Amino acid sequence: MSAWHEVSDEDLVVEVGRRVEPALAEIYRRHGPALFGLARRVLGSGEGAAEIVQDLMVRLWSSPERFEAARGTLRTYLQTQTHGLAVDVLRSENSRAERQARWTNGFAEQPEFVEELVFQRAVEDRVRAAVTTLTDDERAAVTVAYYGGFTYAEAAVILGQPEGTTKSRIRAGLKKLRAALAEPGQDA
Amino acid sequence: MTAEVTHPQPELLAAFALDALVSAEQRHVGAHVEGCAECRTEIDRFRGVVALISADDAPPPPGLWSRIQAAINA
Repeated sequence: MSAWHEVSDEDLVVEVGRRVEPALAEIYRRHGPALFGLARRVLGSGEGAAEIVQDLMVRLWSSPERFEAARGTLRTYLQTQTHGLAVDVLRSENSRAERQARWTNGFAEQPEFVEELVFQRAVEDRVRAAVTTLTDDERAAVTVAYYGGFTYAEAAVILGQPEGTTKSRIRAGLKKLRAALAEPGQDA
Repeated sequence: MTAEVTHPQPELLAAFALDALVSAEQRHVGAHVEGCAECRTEIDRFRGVVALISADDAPPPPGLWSRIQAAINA
């Protein structure tokens, strides 16, 4: 196969299963920047982020069957893995107090912290529009948990609210995003 | 007669999709979704939208692909 850029993600994974290295190279070319960007944002460091992307590509090479196309896109699968690995690294570094302080100060000094941090970066109009359906509190809860790599209980401390409130806001926020981003005819 | 299945709280499924549970809860929900298609679908759909909002592309370091190639051919 010569025109790798025309091959679907699903078919590239099939080729990876056949030990076809250019297929993995194409997956890396297509998704590497998003995965590296996400890992770097969560970790706050490029070096750790590069290691995570390397790990992930090696895992995909050795166990491509772990990707189940019926459960979502390859991008979602890889981003989920990237986030999980980045959070593991963060939590094992034992610097929770310092991270928590940094985020708490971020909110105290700059209320628009969340907006600038994440949601302005959404490239697609429909994604930006979806984000505007969330309240500020819901956006903050989702952002602190996801990009800060915090548990909902830690996020609650940063946001100065009860754990149950943070948990509910995370769910409410994700449900709104899902409703706003649902394809026509698809259930939210 | 089928035993009644106790699903995790809906809030925990959303937090699970963000890796925002403490490890004991993460393990509990993880074990449940292995065997529960309904909760797995819920989590997968949350993860799908999270992947869309986390668009933050950055070029990986130039030597990274060579390192990956070396690792898979080792």
